[in-house]
Amino acid sequence: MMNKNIWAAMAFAAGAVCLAPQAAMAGKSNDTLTWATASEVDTIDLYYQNLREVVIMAHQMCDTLMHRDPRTGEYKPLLAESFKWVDDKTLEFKLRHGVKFHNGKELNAEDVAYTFNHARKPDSGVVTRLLVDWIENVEVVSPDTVRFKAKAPTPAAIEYLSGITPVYPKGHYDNAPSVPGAAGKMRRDYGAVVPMCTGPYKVKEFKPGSSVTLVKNTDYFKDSPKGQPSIGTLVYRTIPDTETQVAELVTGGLDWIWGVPPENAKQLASMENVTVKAAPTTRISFLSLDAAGRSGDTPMKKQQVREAIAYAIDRKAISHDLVGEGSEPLVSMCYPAQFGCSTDVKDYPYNPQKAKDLLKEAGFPDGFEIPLYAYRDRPYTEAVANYLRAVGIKTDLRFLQWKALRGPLQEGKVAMAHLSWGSQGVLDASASVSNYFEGSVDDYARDEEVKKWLDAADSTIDPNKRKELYGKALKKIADKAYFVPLFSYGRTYAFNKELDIPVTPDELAHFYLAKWK
Amino acid sequence: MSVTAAMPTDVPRAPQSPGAVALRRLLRHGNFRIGGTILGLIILAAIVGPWLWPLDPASQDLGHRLAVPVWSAKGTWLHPFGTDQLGRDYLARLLQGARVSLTIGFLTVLLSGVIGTGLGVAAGYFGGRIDVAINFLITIRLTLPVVLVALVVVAVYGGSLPTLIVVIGLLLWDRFAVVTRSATQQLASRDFIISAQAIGSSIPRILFVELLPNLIGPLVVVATIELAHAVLLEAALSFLGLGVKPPLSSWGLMVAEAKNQLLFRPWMIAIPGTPLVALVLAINLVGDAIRDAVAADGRA
Repeated sequence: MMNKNIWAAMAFAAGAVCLAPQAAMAGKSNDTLTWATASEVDTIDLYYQNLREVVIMAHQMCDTLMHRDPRTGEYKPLLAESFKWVDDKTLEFKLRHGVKFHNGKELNAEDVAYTFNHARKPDSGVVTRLLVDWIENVEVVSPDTVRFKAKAPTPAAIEYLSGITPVYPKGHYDNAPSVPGAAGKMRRDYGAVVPMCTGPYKVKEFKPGSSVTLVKNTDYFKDSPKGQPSIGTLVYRTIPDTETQVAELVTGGLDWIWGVPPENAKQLASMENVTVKAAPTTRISFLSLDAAGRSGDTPMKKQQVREAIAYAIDRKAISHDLVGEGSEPLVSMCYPAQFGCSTDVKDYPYNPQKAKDLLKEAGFPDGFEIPLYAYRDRPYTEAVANYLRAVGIKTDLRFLQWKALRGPLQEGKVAMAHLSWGSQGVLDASASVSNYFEGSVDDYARDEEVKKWLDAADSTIDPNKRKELYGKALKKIADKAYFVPLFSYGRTYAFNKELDIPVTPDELAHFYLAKWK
Repeated sequence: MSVTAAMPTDVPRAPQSPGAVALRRLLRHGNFRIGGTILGLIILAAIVGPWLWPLDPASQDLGHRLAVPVWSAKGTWLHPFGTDQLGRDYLARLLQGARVSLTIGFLTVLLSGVIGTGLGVAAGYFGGRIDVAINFLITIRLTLPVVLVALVVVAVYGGSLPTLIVVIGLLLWDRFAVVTRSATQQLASRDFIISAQAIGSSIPRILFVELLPNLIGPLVVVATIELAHAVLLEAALSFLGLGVKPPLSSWGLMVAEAKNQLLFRPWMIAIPGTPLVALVLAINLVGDAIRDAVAADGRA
């Protein structure tokens, strides 16, 4: 009679039970750096998986035409030797000599053209279209020279070609398997091909969903601005439970983790073998409000309601007390370090009384009820919901997986959502504000004037003109309270005290710069 | 069953009603004393607690997140059990969680009890095709994994207190049906039912006046088991993030929220976890004692 009770009890306990730690080989004595996060990595090709973990791996395995030094922010040619803008829409790269892929083949212009001509194709299945959609075509000029033809002037091109668009050898995807796709058709699964790159580390073993092992590339080209790798082996492991990650770090099974909750940072830092450091990231948190009425006639169409929401939330308290070190409150819809991100816009300081007054003006003296969709960091969303409840807006929290939320959100069915966006680490406002206000599926404002300014800003070369245009767009977005920017994310990293690694403000780990002390 | 207990015995004391006999047995039962005390305390806390400790369980104070409980060095009586990750008072949330757990427990048992007993009595009394049809329903219900079905329904329709009560209530009626069906079958051929039929009593009268009172014993036992089951199921759903909606609190949700604090703030899991274990244990102890008390010859 009791077996069903026991079953329910077990289901209850299952979530709390930690996975048994595997036998780990980590640390200085083995010359092996083991790092872990909670994500399950199904492919390690950055074009086909934009998980942050894969971005980190790509920086170790692969090289790109350009390189942004994570410590200084300076752009340096990496696979390229030099570059020049031939005209507004033509970018020419001279390639470096003597760079070899991990299979021994030497890099030439054909490889660069092959990689980008594959990625730019609309049916290539590349997940971050922003990075390749600007390319009209890539041409080989000579064995060491390639030309990128842009569809329109693309001032952010150098940024897009730095760190996040790896170069593969010609014919890399030729053997990609065919798998059943939508509507019974077969499609090529390009993401299943293990990347072949030129970077400081080579792939030794990849177990989808559980681990990735990289080993030092002893043949790495000598004058790389990335320097020479020092640590012999890098092992990535998926450990879903953060408490298990912390326990393994403290006992020496792991050397590097991220996402330590701010409230645990102090306790963890007091452990004798652990270093804890926080750094800002480009990820921003904001409320998407349906000002355009895509989801129907909701209170979000009224400007006073949107302003009331902006005044109701104490973003300083959320940022400083809840999100913690590295996080900053935001006033505009972009990450402040991005080019063109103006913060000279209307601010909505925390003022619950004003919020209540505005709601009354808008015809909602007793507030209203509305579903609030969210997918990431539930405590942050709950804090926002509690602030809204305090002024009379009762939210019905619908917390979903991103995959489940993306559909309704992009189909225009969501009146209010708490979202976040990392801009793929791109330090240009075209990657943030333009993503949400240029008439795309994510645009819930549908403001033609803002769209016009942003279109112009994205395709103007003159930096001052661009700044002015982004500034205008951001100002109107804030004046109309289309979206409510909340805060930028910080990340707290914890690692082995014997590890010497720079902590950088790009939400990445540059293990090729790491050394044992 | 209790019918036998109703027979007058030749003990020289005044004859007692079956209810009084059961009650006397119950009060002497050790398990009932322990379980009843714990259950009584939790029910009392759920009813009067929020009046005695009137802090709003939903009001957040981000400046005072994760305050330590009063028994640690820096604790204060302002928040005897500390605060949670959004700076909400942990004691107030615990008391609200008790209300949620018990409400869900009692209401789902009421719902599933009515459904299960209705079907079980109908199947047992009428037999034949009705019995076959109801048995079919019971079999279908038994093939459905409870947690999985609840998860799917809540994920699709969203979890709110009423949804949870309905979903859990609609899933846990099978044991009521199985037990009342077999008990009814046994009773249906007894003399007092046949006599009632012979004098022309209506079917509702036979079912409600003759039959049901004799099923109370087994029903109460099943009810206690299902009560514990429902409380755990709610905790499991809340733990998985599909239970009650914020800002409402529940013990399962509190355990889930405290999961990431296990290493450095273990009290955050212990505070909601302990009463949850105690509640389920107490309900089972009480159920055990009731079964002993209503069975005619001690343990059946």
